[in-house]
Amino acid sequence: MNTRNYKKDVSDQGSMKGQTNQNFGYTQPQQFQDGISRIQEEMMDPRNIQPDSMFLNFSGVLECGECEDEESLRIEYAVKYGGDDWAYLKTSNNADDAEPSGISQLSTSRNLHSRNIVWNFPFECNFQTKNIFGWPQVVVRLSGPDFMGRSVAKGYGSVHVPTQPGYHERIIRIFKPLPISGFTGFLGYLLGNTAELKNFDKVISSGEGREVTRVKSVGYVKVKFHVTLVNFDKFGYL
Amino acid sequence: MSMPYQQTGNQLDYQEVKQTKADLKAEVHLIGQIVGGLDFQTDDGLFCELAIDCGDGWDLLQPGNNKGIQTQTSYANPGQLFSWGHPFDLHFSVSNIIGWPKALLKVWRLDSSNKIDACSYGTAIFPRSAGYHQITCETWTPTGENLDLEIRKPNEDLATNTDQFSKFDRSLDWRFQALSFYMENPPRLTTLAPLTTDKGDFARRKILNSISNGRVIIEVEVILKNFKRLSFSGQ
Repeated sequence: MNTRNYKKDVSDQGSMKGQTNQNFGYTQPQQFQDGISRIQEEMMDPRNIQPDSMFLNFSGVLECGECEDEESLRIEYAVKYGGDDWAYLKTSNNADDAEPSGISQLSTSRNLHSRNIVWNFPFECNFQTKNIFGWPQVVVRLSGPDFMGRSVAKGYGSVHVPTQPGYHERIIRIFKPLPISGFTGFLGYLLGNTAELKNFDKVISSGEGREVTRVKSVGYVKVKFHVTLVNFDKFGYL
Repeated sequence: MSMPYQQTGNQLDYQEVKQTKADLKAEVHLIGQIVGGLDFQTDDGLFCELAIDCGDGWDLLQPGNNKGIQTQTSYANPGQLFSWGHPFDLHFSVSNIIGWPKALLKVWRLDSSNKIDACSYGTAIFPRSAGYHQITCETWTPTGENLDLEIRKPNEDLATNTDQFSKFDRSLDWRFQALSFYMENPPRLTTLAPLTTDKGDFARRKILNSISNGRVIIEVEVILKNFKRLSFSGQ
């Protein structure tokens, strides 16, 4: 800011030699010397700005789980959200970060007495939204080796991300689709084509068209969530 | 939701008040899952049907079609959870708070010959405070009717007209129980009216006899909008 006090000679109208003082001899009062007016400071205060979207940031861990009589399992997750109003914010430009999903390591239970399998698989996602409808869900798929060592699906489950900020623990109930008949099941067991869901994330998260499927409960998975909500109070929620 | 920022602080307050009054409508989001059923002592497959019952001032904005929910059919060992895991996401706009949404549950049984039949009924009321809730709804199976109670005229008092009301509360139950023994299915309700509180036929629930059955577990997250601004409790 030009704060020099330059007294211009009134008689010298045409001369532009040297710098002219844009303020015509006026210097700003001392308290606004740093260049921001009170009005501009009020404009920049986040409490006065009405934001145009809400943000949901959550991270968590797929901790451990059990599936009937299985010793070695891998867990895969995908976060499904309502398509139109929600946007998933990528944190990197990797190709596998396009949609929030992940595949964990293959883990084994510790001994014969406990069937508890520990993955401790962390995840973190950021979403931008204008509407609550379509709140994200975490859909999981457990897979592991069958008797021949082929990787088959052992169970599916889903849970909604908690809507309150803070730390939450949830239990995902895992179920497995049943084969259509005893013969199909036996043949599938031999060939490694056990009853599986194609596009499991779409089928489980929406609930459409599941009336004709038959399943059996097989276990559970414990999840821990840490949730932060941004701008939700400005939109009237929370 | 974005609005142009005005120059001075006073105008900002006025704009915010105008904006707030424009969309000052209470909204409720019910986001959750029908987790499963417990303690249904059966070897057959079970699935659950859920219908939302709410008052006239409740407008279901999303999803567009309210055709009800039917879960997958689940089998379970004794003592295990019948896992349905069916997610739901409901967005209501509330102009009148009377008639807070209820879930009318009907559990069906699929037996080994692929025949479906009603197993039990229940009513679960969605919670009224924001946050995560786990609702357990106990269900009951109707076993028969006590028609003598129906014969009595509506306004008569039980104590004064002793010749009209039935001394035997289970007087006609044996007919239904015999039929359900041979047909292997319990009697069914013809309408879901006995489950709701405000649809007229609820008073006929007194003629039913029922037996207890398992429980349905629902996890739901309730998100309330503008409840605090309108001085409603719960947010």
